[in-house]
This record gives sequence, C-alpha cells and structure tokens, in this order.
Amino acid sequence: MQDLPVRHVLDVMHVEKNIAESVLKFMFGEKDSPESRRDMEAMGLRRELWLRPRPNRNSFFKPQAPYVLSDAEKKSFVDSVSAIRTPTGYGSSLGKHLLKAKFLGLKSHDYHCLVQQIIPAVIRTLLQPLQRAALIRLGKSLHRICARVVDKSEIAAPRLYVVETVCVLEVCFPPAFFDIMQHSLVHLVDELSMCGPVGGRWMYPCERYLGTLKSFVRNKRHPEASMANGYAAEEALGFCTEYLNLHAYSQRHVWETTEDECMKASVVQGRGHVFNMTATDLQKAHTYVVLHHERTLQMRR
Amino acid sequence: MCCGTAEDQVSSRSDVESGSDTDYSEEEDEGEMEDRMYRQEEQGHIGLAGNVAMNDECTTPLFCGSNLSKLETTLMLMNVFRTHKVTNGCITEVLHVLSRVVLPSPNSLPGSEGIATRMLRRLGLKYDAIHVCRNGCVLYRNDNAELDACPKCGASRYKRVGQSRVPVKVLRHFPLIPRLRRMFSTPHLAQLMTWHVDNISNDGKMRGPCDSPQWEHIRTRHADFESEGRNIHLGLCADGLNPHSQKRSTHSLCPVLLLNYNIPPWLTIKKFFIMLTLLIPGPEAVTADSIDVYLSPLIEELATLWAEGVMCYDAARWRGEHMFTLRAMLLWCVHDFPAYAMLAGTTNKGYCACPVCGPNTHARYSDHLSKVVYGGRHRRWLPADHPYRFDEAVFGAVELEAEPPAMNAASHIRWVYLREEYARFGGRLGGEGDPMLCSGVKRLPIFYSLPYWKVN
Repeated sequence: MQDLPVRHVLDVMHVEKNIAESVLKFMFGEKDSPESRRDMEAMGLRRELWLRPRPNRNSFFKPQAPYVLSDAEKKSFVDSVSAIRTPTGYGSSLGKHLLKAKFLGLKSHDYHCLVQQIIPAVIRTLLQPLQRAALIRLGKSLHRICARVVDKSEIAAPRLYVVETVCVLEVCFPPAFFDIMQHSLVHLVDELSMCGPVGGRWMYPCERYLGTLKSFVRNKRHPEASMANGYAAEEALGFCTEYLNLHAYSQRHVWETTEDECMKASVVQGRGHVFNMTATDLQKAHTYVVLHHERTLQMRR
Repeated sequence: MCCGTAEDQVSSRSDVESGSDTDYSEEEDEGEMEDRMYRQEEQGHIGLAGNVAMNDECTTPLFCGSNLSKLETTLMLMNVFRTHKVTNGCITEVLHVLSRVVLPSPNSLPGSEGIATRMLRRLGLKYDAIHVCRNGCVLYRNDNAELDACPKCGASRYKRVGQSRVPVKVLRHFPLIPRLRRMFSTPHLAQLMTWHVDNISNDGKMRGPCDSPQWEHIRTRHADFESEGRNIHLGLCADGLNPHSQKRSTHSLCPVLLLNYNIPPWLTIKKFFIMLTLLIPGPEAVTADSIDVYLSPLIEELATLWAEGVMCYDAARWRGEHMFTLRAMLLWCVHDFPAYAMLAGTTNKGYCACPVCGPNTHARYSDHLSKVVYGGRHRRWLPADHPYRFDEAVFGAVELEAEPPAMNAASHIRWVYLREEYARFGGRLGGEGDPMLCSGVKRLPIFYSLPYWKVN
C-alpha cells in the first residue's frame, strides 16, 4: 500500500510569519519572562541566565539574556529599521509600523521581509555573536525554503542547512521559543524537495483572494450571498472578456502575457537583464566607486 | 451605492427563499444544453459553455446601426470600472449619462450598475444553494431534500420569518465540472491547460509543481491519467474569513478555493485562475465535525472526475482531438495550521501536535510556562555522523536516535481504526485512554474516499 507522498502541505507563509513574530518578541524581551527563566532552571539549562534572589529583598535579579536587545541596542535596531529605504514594490515601509520601539500592525509579508533580509542586515552589530549567527542562518534557511528554483541533485544541501539552523536555534534561544512552528521548519524543507518551489503552494495568493471576496460584501446582513453573487458576476466578466478577446482593448488584463518573460531561467536565477548604461548612469557609478574606495575614505579622514 | 445595496438585498433574499437562484432562468435540461453548446462551438458561433443568454446579448446592437454589440460595450466598460475600483454609485451615473445623453436615443446599454451586474451574472455559470442543518450535521439534498428537520440533531431546517420559510443556513456550491469545461471552450485558455506536458524541466531543476517528485510519482503510478495531457491537477486551499472588517465581529466563513497546476506556475496564482468551489456559511466557524459534510459536494465531483471523467470539448484541439474525456485529481491541499488539523483529521495541540511526526513528536509540558514546548531533539534529523550529534559541550548529551518516520496514509488509517475499536469497547473519546492522545490522529477525513488518496 503506497500513498501520495504529501497530501497536506504546511503553509510556508503562516509558519514564517509566526516564527518572525516570536523572534521579534524575544528580541524585544516581551517573551523573556521570569517563567521562561524558571523553566530553564527546571531543565538545568544555562545556569548564568537563572533568576537570582537579591540579598535582603523579596525580589529576583534577572540577568541580561544574550538573545534580548539591550536598551541601547533596541534604539539602534529601531533607528536602522526605520531608516531603511527599499525599492518600489519591495514591501511596506516598516518605519510606519514602529511606535515607541514596538512593531504594530505588521502584515505577513512584512514579517517575510523582516526575517529574511532586514533582521539579518540590521543585527550585524547587535546581540551576541552566536545569537547573531543563528538569526542570520534563520533568515537564510527561510530564503532557501522560498527558493524559486530548486536543484534536484543538491536537495540535501538546503535540508542539512535548515536542520543545523534549528539545532543552533535550540542552543541560542530558551525552550519557550520552540512552539510547533519552529519545529515545522524541518518539515518545510522536506516538502520543498517533494513538491517543488513554494510559489504555488503557499497561502499568499489565497489570502489575497479572500480580500477580493471580502470586497464583494455589500449587504452586511447576507455576506455569503453577496460574495456568491459578486463572484459569479466577476467570473462571468473575466471569461466573457477572454472569450470575445476584448482584453486587448482595456487596461484590465486577466493575466499579463509579458509575464512569460519573468519566468525565463536567466531572470529566475538572478542573472539579470543586459542593458546599456546611459552616460549619466555611468558618471554616477564612477563617482560612487571613487568616493567609496578605501583610499579615498582614508584621505577624507 | 444605495442602489447596489438594494439590488443585492433583493437578489440574496430571493435566492435564500427559493433555495436556488431565480436569476438563472434556463429551463433546458442538461443534455440538450450540452448538445447545443457543442453545436455552437463546431459552427464557430459565440456561446460560452452552453450559455443561451450570451447569444442574445451578443446579437443585440448597442444602438441602431452600431457595429458594437450590447455585450461587448458593457464588458469593456465594466472592465474599466473594475480595474480602477470605481464605486457602484459612480458606475450608475456614468452608465446613466452614456445611455441617456451620449448615445442615440433607443439604445441597449444597461442603465445602472445593478442592471449591468445582473446581466453579467446571467452570462456566467450558476451555483447551487444547498440548505444545511444549523449544526452542520447534514446537507438537505438527495435523500434529505424534502426533510424539514435534521435527522441527526432534530434542529429545524427553516426559521420563521413572517409567512415565508427561510432556511437557517445555506452552503453555496459552485460546480466544478462546468467551470473546467468552460476553461476548454476558449482556445487560448485551453492551450494553457497542456502547458505542463511540454514544459517539464530537463536540466534537473524544479521550477514548478510539474517537475516535482510528487508529480513524477503520479506519472509512474497513474500512467493512464497522465497520458491525457489535458487532465487536470488541482490544489485545494481552505481558510477562515471574517467578512466584516471589524476585528470584534466573530462571523466566520470558510471559502474553499481550487488552484490549477496544469497552467504555468506564474498563472496558477492569478485571481482569474483561482476557482471558488464552496462557500461554507457562518456565523460560527466551521468545526472538524462538520467540515466533511460541507466538503461532500466537492468530493463527489472529484470522485466522478477521477473515476469515469466527463466528456469535454477542447477548443484548442490538442493533438487534433475535439472531444475527450476530462479527468481531474487533487494533487495536495494547502492550509494554515488550524485548517490543517481540521481537514487532515489530526490534532494541532498537545503532545502530538505535529501532524507529520504524529506519535513521534518530541514534546514536553513545562509547568512554568504552562504550555507544551517542542524543542530539544532536532539533532535527530541530522546525518548519523554529523559532528553536532556528538558535541556534548554545546548541545548536551550525545544524540544517537535516527530521524523519526513521517506519518503516512496507512498509519493514519491504522490509528483511526484503533480509535474506533477503543470507542466500540466503551472507551470515552477524549478520556485518558484515548489513542488520539498518543498519535494525534482523530478521524478519517473525507479525502480518503478518493481512491488515489490512500492506495496509489
């Protein structure tokens, strides 16, 4: 008796979001509770982080943990994140979500950007080296899980990388960090090797679609009926337009034929486009290189 | 705006009362309609998946002497409106100005947003409104179609509003088969459906689902299914949705979406190609007990599409054939974690929360944190000779245990069987001896009625 190798796939989007959320909570010390320290004590892990009773007082001293940002580091983290300028269409501006050194109202895609690229870039001077390395590895692991092209012959490499990362995370973070989402990382990379690139089997398109369905609700007493009728009309509009080949006359494309270009191997694998530089661009590039050369920097000092 | 609201209210009310949409007045029987569709297709006439209404709209000119038809004009205008997210009030006003002032006097342009939308809806495919028991026990169809109360829990099918009988809950089912057929009725869409045949990567790199080992597995196991390139591979996606934008509203719907993996991977995720098949009603969130009932219309269709298939007309004439038997299968399901547990028939909390590890999940209850934590044993997934396994100073005691086996369909079935036996001999489900507690397996989800799900 043999079965479909994978019947239900874990959703990369939600796992990534939950992990990123919990990383941020630990970094900002929200989840670094006395209970999590007591739990470490009960397990006999990392003696230096245990709560210490203060002499002559009825309270405890909580040592600074290596995975929590100190106040100065917090400020530096927040300043760097809010100073980040990204290309158009990269993601939302994260500075807007910062309120008193706290992230508020982040979307799943913001967590996606944060954990894969922004946190690894920003913490390069923060935290202890081991924790820093672990978080950079976490970003890279998730990046590998979200790869757009997967090499079948080298599928063992990302798997080893991700499992090693999970092991390192176990050492760097307290046991309270490990809920089922962090454990799921191990299975996500297996599903990557069984089901191919993640593009068509995560929830981003579906979640976007739910937003569309929601916009059909006109009558709040009957949301289901509004959605059904709205969907039926929208579907008919799309298919009739396609059938009569009217899409050429309107801005609205059911899909973009030019997108075929985007899937060419050269673009997918990051080899990029070839294009001719204008004289201005060349001038700018020259100036940049000259100004940022090591010798020039020394002379400017 | 107010116009749209009123329209919707009227239409949704009428649909609730009659049990099916009154907007769709096609009385022809199925077979005759199909014949007509194929005839139209053969003659190159316009007719979308057997839609009679479309013919009429297409032949009506916009005004006397115009080259454009009523349908073309409305479609182009509505496309513009929808692209730029124009409000319903604005659409009504623009249509009003166009039809009353700009165009010559007797013209056929719809006068308001409501009329235009209803015209579009008439062109599309219909959906079934199936009455459901308040508690999600049964669907009132087939044998139960005539019942007035639920045979299981006794709850009434209708609520009393004045003189009319209004059903308590309605499941909306958008039949899959006509929608798949419609994809094949437009030549350039039909062409896409065989994209995966010619685009398997040949350099050992996976770029989409059709290069994956899972797909290869189907290719070897079900050669007859794969020999017809137009047979469809679907992905199922279910998620909860709060239709009101207020966070405190607890109204929860569960749309079930289908993704089409035959087409290029960058089109799979486009809105146009995502199909809504079931709209599971609220206001209470759907539970693990009732999800199978709600899914049954879809699974029946999938079973038909797998076993015998349906006849379908292919406008693109792949390998020269017009008519072929269309079959379809479910490649995998995609869910977030709560929906995963519901649809896979497992638990998502406690000591066996990981649905992949099942009974081998490593979990520990922490008294201080008052929750279960899952860390500490991940070196099991490393190769047997990996240095981390032996590094006692950093990682603790040497780890010699091998990677735990993942759950498969066979062991899932065995655990379900064990749990049924336990219940039959008087065991209390949810009690201390429940096998669910050491396996995480709760029940056999309805997907197991699909032949390829367990034995492949």
